Amino acid sequence: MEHETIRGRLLYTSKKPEIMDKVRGGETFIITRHVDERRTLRALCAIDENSPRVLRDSVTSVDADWRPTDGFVRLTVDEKFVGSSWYRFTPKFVECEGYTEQEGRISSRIEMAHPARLFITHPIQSDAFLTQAYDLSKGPGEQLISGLVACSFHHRGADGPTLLHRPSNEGFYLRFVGPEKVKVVAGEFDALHFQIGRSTDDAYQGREEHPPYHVWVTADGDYVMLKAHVTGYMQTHYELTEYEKRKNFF
Amino acid sequence: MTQQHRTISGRILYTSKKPEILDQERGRETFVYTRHSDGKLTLRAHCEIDEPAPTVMRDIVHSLDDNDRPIDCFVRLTVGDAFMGAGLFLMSDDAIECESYGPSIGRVSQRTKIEGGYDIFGTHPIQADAYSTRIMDVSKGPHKRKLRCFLPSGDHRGATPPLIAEGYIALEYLGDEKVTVAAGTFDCHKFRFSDEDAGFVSKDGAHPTYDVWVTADEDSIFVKGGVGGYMQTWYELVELER
Repeated sequence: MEHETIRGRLLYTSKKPEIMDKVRGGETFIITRHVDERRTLRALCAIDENSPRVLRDSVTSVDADWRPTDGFVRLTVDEKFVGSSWYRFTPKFVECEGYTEQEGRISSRIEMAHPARLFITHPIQSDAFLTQAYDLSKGPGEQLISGLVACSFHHRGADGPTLLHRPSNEGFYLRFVGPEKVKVVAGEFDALHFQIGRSTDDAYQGREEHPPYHVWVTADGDYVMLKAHVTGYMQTHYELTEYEKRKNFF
Repeated sequence: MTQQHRTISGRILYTSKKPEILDQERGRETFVYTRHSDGKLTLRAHCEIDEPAPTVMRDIVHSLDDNDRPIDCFVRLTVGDAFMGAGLFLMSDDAIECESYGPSIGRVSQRTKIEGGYDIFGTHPIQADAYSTRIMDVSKGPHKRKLRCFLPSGDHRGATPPLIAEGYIALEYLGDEKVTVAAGTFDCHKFRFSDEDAGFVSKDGAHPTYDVWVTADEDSIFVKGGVGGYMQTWYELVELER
């Protein structure tokens, strides 16, 4: 096998004064870049801070153009099984088959005018993958990314998992701040700094909009999350603490 | 603040007993178990088989209830470096459903009504094989049982697109041994899978005899084992954290 494997671990900490820098969860992930340039990301994520405490399995794959092809999400919230769903993407529709405790057996399908561009399943590494949608040839700035499909629009992804679609004129804004050198526990990396979303109000305490979300990803084309932080009511911080990349599995 | 589930992770090395590649690495598997606080269990395994061709890359996320009965299972396969298929299996008291897609099978929805119950859902990671031995009542001492199995692939390496398959296999409890491998020394139960009724026949015949040593505790972790016959494979636990 000549594929490439990346393994990593992200530590979730808090910037809330009462639990400053305390661990509030974590994530391990394995990325395969297959020989045909498809990629598969498996992530196991735990959010331990307050309810809803989330344990999430996500296995998502994209084609050589980073368009989603299939996925799986399984959720445990507050230590109870919530749901388990499988997704398939075609150029004309997206479908979801699964079971959730709230809805029972679910089977849904959304017709797409254009192929889905991004599939949001909520691992932090999955968020890093979102940033590949930005056209770097245009340099720093802001771009509207459309074709968004998600398993949950909850800020923690703590419901469903079901099939949700944001109409193409209601995508999300991605701002490329620029290249930076970043040092994290896992090492020193050439990074790309992005902001996901448009909000710049770090003091905003509402839940209607996602607070400002800054991410730094590797600049080598793999889009591995190096560090990230969310302000507002969330006050979360994420950092890559383990990282290995090599040809084939290890 | 921390959730109360327990996490077990490990790595199994796949080697060969074929004379021409004796003891050489031919694949590997990493697994992570969650023992949820309500007694349910989720096993994720990422497996690679390099030899013989075609290569197999398998992702499994399989969950069981607090009585070790299957709830759901996701399977994704890459065979010969090409996407083979992905699908979800959902189990209820009286049926198994499969929603699957693969280039060779297209989009498939299956529902198999289960009459008379079944013993195990065999998903093909080596650690999953080890966990399935919990179906045996070791308090009875050494004995053999015939098991009714459902699987996401009847292929010996699980290298076909996810679809519901069924068969019977015998499982024998052979006794207890202390075993030392790279990951440590463990008190183990020894079991033997045998396809004596040829319930899993492939082009190479019935599935060869498969011996496994499994930790003699509530986690049933694979420690070592191997398959004879035409396969001549060997597996050993090289890392464990719990």
